[in-house]
Amino acid sequence: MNLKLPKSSTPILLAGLGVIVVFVMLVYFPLSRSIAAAHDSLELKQSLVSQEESLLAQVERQKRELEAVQEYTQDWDTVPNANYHLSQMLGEISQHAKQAGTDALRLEPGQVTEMQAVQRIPVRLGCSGTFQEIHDLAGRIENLPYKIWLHRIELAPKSDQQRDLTCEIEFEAFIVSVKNSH
Amino acid sequence: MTSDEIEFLPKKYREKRKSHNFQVSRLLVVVVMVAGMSAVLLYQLAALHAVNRQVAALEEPHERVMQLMQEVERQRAEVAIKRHHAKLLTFLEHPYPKSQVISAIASPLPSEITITRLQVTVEQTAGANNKAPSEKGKKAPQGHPMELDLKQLVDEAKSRRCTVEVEGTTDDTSCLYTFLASLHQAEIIESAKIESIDPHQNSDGTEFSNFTAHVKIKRGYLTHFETLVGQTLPAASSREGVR
Repeated sequence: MNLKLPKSSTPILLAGLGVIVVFVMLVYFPLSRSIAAAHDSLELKQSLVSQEESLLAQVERQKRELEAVQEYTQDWDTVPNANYHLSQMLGEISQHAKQAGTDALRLEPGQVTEMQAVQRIPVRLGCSGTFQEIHDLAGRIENLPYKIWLHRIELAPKSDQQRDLTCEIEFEAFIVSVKNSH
Repeated sequence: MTSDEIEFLPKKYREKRKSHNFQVSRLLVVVVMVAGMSAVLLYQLAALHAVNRQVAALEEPHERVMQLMQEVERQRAEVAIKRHHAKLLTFLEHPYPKSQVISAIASPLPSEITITRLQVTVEQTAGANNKAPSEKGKKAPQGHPMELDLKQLVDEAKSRRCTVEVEGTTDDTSCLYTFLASLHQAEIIESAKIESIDPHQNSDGTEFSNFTAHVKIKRGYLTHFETLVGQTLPAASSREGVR
């Protein structure tokens, strides 16, 4: 089939092609992009919405975990005031030293070291007593409801004749303040 | 056989008809083109509208999910802080009981041995680097304050070792060796050895020896603590969580 167009149809053909190109460029592609973007947004939202149940489960799980951790930490008293806490602790150690039967108790708190959240206070304790009394005191200090680490215990006889020993204990008390626990 | 071929019609009429046909076909092309473009446009608009309607329908559940996600994040942060607190308190709460160390050494003390000096020390092991993290590098440590403190305390504990220096006298050195051998039976003692024995004679002629012994205490393993804390202390192996 021989398709022969008249010469006068060429500009019309070009104009038609131009209109198509303009339509494609200015209408078709932008709309296609909008549709694709809307599809992406839809898929994203659908995928997020599909996570609702697992998120609810996560919320429940974390609630339970939070309760468990809080239940675990509630055994420890919070420390609103470090100085008051230290005085209370030294007072209790002093009482326990008496109850253990040791004499000449000496308590020397050192310089407080500030960590990021914890305050550590070195304390030197000196006393005299029998081995049993001093051993009892060390056990009592360790069992106090404070965070105390004994670093050094030195026992030596007071004199050749006596059964009494002199004792030097160095320990560190750790304080986690309330402001740092939350 | 067509009328063009017969050519009965006058030339002017034929040209007019030809021109008319051409205009009709041009119009048809334009109509088809406009119709096509309109159809495409309508299809696209309908598709966009449909998708937008679906998106709008998801707005409410999406908003709900976003709030849930924020809630999950908030709770996660809160749990993380509480866990740091719990781990730090747990670590601080369970030091190696030094009173038991004294018990292990002095409780089975034979009557032939007298301890004149006993010193329990938690000392830095040789080669351990006790520099604070801020001194090692210029970069400030990252993390929650309690997490950083726990890490520092664990590092310190790993680099320390509990040892006991025992000085005493005995009138029977074989008994001293038996005593030291018995110390090895104790669960918390790693090794016990004589550092020195210095024989002396009393004024009444009886012999005795001054001795110095060195006892190494085993590193402590807090299994329940490791279970709780192990996951957040990747660097500390299960054999090293000690104080």
